[in-house]
Amino acid sequence: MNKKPKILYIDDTPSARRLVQRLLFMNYTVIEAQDGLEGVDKAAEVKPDLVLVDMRMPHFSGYEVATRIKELLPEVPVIALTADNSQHVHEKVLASGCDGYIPKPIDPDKFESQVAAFIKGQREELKDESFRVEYQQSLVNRLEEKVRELTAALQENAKLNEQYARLLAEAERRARLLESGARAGRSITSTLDLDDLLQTTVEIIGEEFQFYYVGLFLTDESGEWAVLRAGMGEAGRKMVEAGHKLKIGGLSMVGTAMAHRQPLISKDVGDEPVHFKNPYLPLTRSEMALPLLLGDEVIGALTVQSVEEDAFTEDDVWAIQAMADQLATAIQNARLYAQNETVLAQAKRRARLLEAAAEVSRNITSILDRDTLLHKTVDVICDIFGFYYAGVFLVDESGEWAVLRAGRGEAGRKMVEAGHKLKVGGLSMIGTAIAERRALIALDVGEEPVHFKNPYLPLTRSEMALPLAKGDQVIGALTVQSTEEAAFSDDDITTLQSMADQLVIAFDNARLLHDLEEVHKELVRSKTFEAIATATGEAIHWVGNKAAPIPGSIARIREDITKYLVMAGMLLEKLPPELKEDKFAQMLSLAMEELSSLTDVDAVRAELEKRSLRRLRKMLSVESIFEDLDIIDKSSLSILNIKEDLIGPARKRNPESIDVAVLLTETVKGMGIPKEVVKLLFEEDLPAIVGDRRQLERVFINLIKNAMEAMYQVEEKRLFIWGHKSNDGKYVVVEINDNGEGIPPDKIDKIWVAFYTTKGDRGGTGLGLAACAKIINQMDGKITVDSEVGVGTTFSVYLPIPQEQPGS
Amino acid sequence: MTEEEIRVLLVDDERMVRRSMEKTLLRAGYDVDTADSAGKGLELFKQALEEGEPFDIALLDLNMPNLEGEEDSKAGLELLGELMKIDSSFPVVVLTAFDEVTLAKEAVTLGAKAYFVKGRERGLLDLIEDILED
Repeated sequence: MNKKPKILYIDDTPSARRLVQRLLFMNYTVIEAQDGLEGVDKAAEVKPDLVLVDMRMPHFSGYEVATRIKELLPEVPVIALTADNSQHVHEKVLASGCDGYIPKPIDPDKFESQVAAFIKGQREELKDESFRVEYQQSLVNRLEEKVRELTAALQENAKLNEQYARLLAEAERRARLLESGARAGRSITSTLDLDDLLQTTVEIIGEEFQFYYVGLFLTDESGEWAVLRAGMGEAGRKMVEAGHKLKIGGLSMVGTAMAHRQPLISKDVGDEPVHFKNPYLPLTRSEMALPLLLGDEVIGALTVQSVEEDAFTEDDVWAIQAMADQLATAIQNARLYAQNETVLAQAKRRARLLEAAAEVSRNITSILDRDTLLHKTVDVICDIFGFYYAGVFLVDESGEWAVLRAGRGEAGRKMVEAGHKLKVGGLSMIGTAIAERRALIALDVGEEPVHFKNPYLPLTRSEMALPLAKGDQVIGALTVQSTEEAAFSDDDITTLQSMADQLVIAFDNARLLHDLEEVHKELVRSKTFEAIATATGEAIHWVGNKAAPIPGSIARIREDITKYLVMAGMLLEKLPPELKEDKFAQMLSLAMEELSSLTDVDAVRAELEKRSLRRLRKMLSVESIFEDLDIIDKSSLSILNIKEDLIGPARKRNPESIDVAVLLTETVKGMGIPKEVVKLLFEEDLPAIVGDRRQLERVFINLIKNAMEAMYQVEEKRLFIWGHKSNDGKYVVVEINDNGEGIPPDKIDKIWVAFYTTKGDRGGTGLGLAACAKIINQMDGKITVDSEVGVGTTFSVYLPIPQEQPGS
Repeated sequence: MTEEEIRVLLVDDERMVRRSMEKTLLRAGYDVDTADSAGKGLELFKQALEEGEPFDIALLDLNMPNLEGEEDSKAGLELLGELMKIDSSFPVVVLTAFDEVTLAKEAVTLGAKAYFVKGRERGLLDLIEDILED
């Protein structure tokens, strides 16, 4: 196998290496090296047939590489590649040991042949040896330079190492201190009880630094004494229990350290005069006392003791004092933190409650419908406060019971349905809250005697009951419940009570509106009666309108009869004598005589003579006479109806027992309503009621007529009449339901007002419903209406069932 | 001016009142068109104008459906206003029940030639004749 020659190409420029590789790979195996060191190593390793080396490389230059490779492999040709075209570069290259020279940039057309020539043995030789001397001299210079650099680097390294060691030691110590501090800190922040915290701290410090004993004193309130608050181990516990304290500024090390605000070291405790001989700590041989300084204030001191003599160095003082400072801050932080935490949490909670209360108020104060208000209230309270349950109780009329009117969720719905109620003044929280008119909190419901054990709310762990009071009157109570134990605090009462007060205001608004609506309805109704009783201008207007066409029609009929008679008279004159004795001729003759005495017959005659037959036909017809009679008929009937509506309710009544089913069946039949339109349904054994048959019939006619008129434009008219007993068994209810156009909500109140109705071609007299209401009211019954536009209207007539009626 | 040429617009929503007056007018030889609301009345009026056969006089009820079709005790005044906008000299007689006379007088200040209390139709013919002769 013909092996390709191996070429080692050393160049720090990747693009140059790629170019050489591309130009030579067909016929050579090119090994690349990206710097001088790698080039020397690879040359020794692969023993190439030719080395190409770039002259300009950092650190180890091409010259030095060439020299080194020539020394390792004297037989292998080394060719320099260089872009340097300064004077004598060629000589310098050869002086370094190279066997040839290829200028850069590489000429792709020539490169392979240049390489091939060197492979085949082409060599160049340095003619002038002075270049070699110069080169060697420069090598020595460079070596010296390198040695200097190395020495400097070595020195720097030693310095850095030393620094590093120092920093490391410091860092380690710091880390250890910080770790102790951090542990102390962690305990501090997680332990709200200061004594616990201090105890943990001394244990940690002792363990961390392997001390015999660590104790922590805090200045008492008087500022005179340092009281031991925590001590390591059994000795510490006993001393703390014994109330061990040292006078600040006294003879003890702690007292002295605190008075002077300086750390104090006793190297041999036995010799130190200020040391307090402590029977609990017999093994102490050296001690350090460190004041806990917070700015200018000495909040306490730390005592650290060791069984070794001279255990503490000045360095240790620095380290441990740093930690003591940290500890002081930490203690202060802990104190502040504990304080702040409490205050902040309280403030936050208060703010949140207030905000929620305000939101609840915002959400409910605009609701005017009472039921909606109650239900919305419990939902809003639960949603906003995140309570498990809320319920509103209202005191019933008797004042004895608080009845649940709205409750949150499914539980609430069920309880309301079940008629859940609690005795006012009873054992329940609600009962108590209402009776005593004060808010109650049961923090652990399981143990609270006043709590009503409620199977619907098994998860309740705390509850608050708030009275809903308006002035002196308690109208009910609000219960809010939480699944958390101790969810409510006394502070919450104020906030939630203010919300409850808002609720009362909202209830009151709703109640007021409700009352107002009732009054308004009553007013509308009484206005109806007023209208009927006094026959207001509107009634007169109505009668006037109905009567208006009558005189016109009468005048035309009179005119028309006159004309017909005059025509008959003129015809009579033309009769042959023998016919004049005919009985009809004689009748007409008599009529003419009568007519002459009543009107100017000659004038009529003259007018008729003037007219053509065509004109006469246009102005005179029997059809026209009948139409006018019809106008009179209808107009007068309307007026009669108005009269009936006006005086009907006032007419003398003849009360009798009436079977409503029979009366309605007959009425419907009498009105000629198509069978396919009307459907009658009566509950079996419907009790008889007592009333005036004519009046009641009139009411039903009116209502049925209204229903039919409402369905005027409905294709499939459906009139449904249903007689049944009311839920409370006190009334017979007749519902008259149509699928007509319905009454818009803004008009539904007005239908009871006299004369409010459609007029014109259809529609009643306008007194109908007012009269109906009056009649039914007189019977101690009532009429209600329920209507939806486009769906239909239902009038319900409530007729009282007589109490003494047997079989009712 | 011959009777056949005179076109009367009668607007009243009370069917029998409308029919009765229509008959009276027809018999007196007038060409009568009727409408039962202000809206329809205005429509007829504009239509007649466009067709080149304008009305010579209009009789307007006061209390009837207005231009929006709503019951309105002043619907007649509304229609009167519209007619006055189109032709301020157009003769209009306002029809009124006897208890609406105050309103009818207001109509006269708004441009109506006269008001007429419904019920005496003979008098209406005389009134129309007087107005048209002016």
